[in-house]
Amino acid sequence: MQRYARLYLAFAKNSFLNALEYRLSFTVWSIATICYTAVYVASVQIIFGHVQTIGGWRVEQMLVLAATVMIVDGIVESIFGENMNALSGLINRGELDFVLSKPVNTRFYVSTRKFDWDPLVQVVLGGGVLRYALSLLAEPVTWIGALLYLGMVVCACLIAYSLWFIIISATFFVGRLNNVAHLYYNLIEASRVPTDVFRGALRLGLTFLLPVAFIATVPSQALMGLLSPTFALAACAMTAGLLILSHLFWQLALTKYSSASS
Amino acid sequence: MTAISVKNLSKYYEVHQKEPGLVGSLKSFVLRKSYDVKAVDDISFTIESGELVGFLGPNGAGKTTTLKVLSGLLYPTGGEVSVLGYTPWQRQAEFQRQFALVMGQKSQVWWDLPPMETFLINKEIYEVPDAQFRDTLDELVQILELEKVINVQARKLSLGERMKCELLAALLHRPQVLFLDEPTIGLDVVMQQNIRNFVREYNARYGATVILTSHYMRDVEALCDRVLIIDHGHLVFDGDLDTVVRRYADYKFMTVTFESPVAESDLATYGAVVAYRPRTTTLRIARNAVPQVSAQLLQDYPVLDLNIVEPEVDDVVRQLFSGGKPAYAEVVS
Repeated sequence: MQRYARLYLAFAKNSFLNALEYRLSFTVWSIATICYTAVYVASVQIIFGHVQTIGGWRVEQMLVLAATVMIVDGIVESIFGENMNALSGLINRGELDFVLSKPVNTRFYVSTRKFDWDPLVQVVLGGGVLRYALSLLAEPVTWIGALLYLGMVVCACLIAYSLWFIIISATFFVGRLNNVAHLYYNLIEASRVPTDVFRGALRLGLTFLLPVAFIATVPSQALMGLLSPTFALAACAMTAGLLILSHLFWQLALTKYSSASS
Repeated sequence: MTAISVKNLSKYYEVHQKEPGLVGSLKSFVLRKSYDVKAVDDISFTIESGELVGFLGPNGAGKTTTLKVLSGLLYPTGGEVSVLGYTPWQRQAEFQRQFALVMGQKSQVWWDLPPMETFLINKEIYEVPDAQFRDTLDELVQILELEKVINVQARKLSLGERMKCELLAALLHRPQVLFLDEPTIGLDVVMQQNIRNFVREYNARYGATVILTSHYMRDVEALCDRVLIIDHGHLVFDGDLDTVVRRYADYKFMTVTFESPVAESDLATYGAVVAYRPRTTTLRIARNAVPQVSAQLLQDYPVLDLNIVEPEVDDVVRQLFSGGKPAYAEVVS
């Protein structure tokens, strides 16, 4: 455990040095993220100029949701994003060879080797939007709500990562998949709408089949004291289930690995 | 002590065959024909600890596949393999800490950072103690003459410098077994020589077992007393290099440039004419006849230049098995 913490520190340090080599990237990314956030918050305000609620959610609640999407997406992209995007290439070009020959947990290595500092901007901005939204909220947030929120955000990140990881691992079986890899981004886009908007089978599907609900709706409800204990437990179960499933899938995929030609 | 033992190792790949063109692609999309390619077919050998062994063979012979099975990257289709007493594809950490893999075609050094940062990552991965890390690093940096290089961004290094850094990165944990897959590919002669010298020195200094694959006969000649020749997945020769060259490459090529044109029929009396031009001709001459023939030629004709070269290893191996069939087993599924 301690060894992996040290290894992770070394990874993060290398990634930081790497980021410093490309100073402009960080600046451009920051400007883009600030613009994107401004447009996004403005568009939510404009929509609520015409309606009172969407699926029972008021404007300040929608902003909590929007902030949560930004935070979850920012964390997942910082920690795993570059790695997931690189993994398919590692498999496709046979560069996984070096990883597999080292005394290190392969999944840990391929999932965390590169830490992307850029999306952290989004997390910080998301925090800002969240603060603003909370100031508009009628009822103050409780300590329990805040703690539950943190827990649900962690679950959301792990769920998003596990799904992403499973999808990319499928490269082992088919050699290459370009478009399916975008599923993560679709998942994030879909989570910008509270799942309360949907009804019946679609809502069930977006909760348990493709767990969109757990990405932002559930954490937001937790923060505002609107989450039922059943759903909190369901989020934990979903997280554990997907982590185990992705582990099994990865193990299976490794036995299929036939590294690309030398 | 036996370091590596391989018994009846086989590795088949399933590949899809496609007819050319759009129609072919559509057909293959609907109904895929697949074949088993026997990359490695029933190979057995043992290697003693401290040996420096060369794998020779043309492209696609199965050299790299064998190395990948030995390093635990690939699950074999059949057979038993033991490296330092471990089964490689179980990928136990204790096993992985004792070997290293270097591939001339692939890079483990982080592209955007100085090689030193990669070394530090490997230090953590292999849990090399600080003191040992410093000693090994100093030693290897000195032997490989990398003092000026290890703090420069890797993508700004020359191919040769990067290859040396690849070696250094792979050797920081002082592996007992070293797999080198074409470590000299694409390097100039001087750098090839440097790498060879280094491999020999590492082998001698640490008593490490080394397997080297290469297309270059020179690499193997310079380093290995023993070679395994693999072709179409079969082990076709296991023994010392002198025997291979004597037995299978019992000739050399002699290229002669004359002052004035010489008829092909006249030259045919000296050896088999491989490529003829009136002034410059290449002859194939029996190895043991080379001194007499060259003396005779110099005596008989005004010669401007005379160049004698060894046959390419690919030619030797090809010649060895020119009668052999490709090892495809067609399976339509």
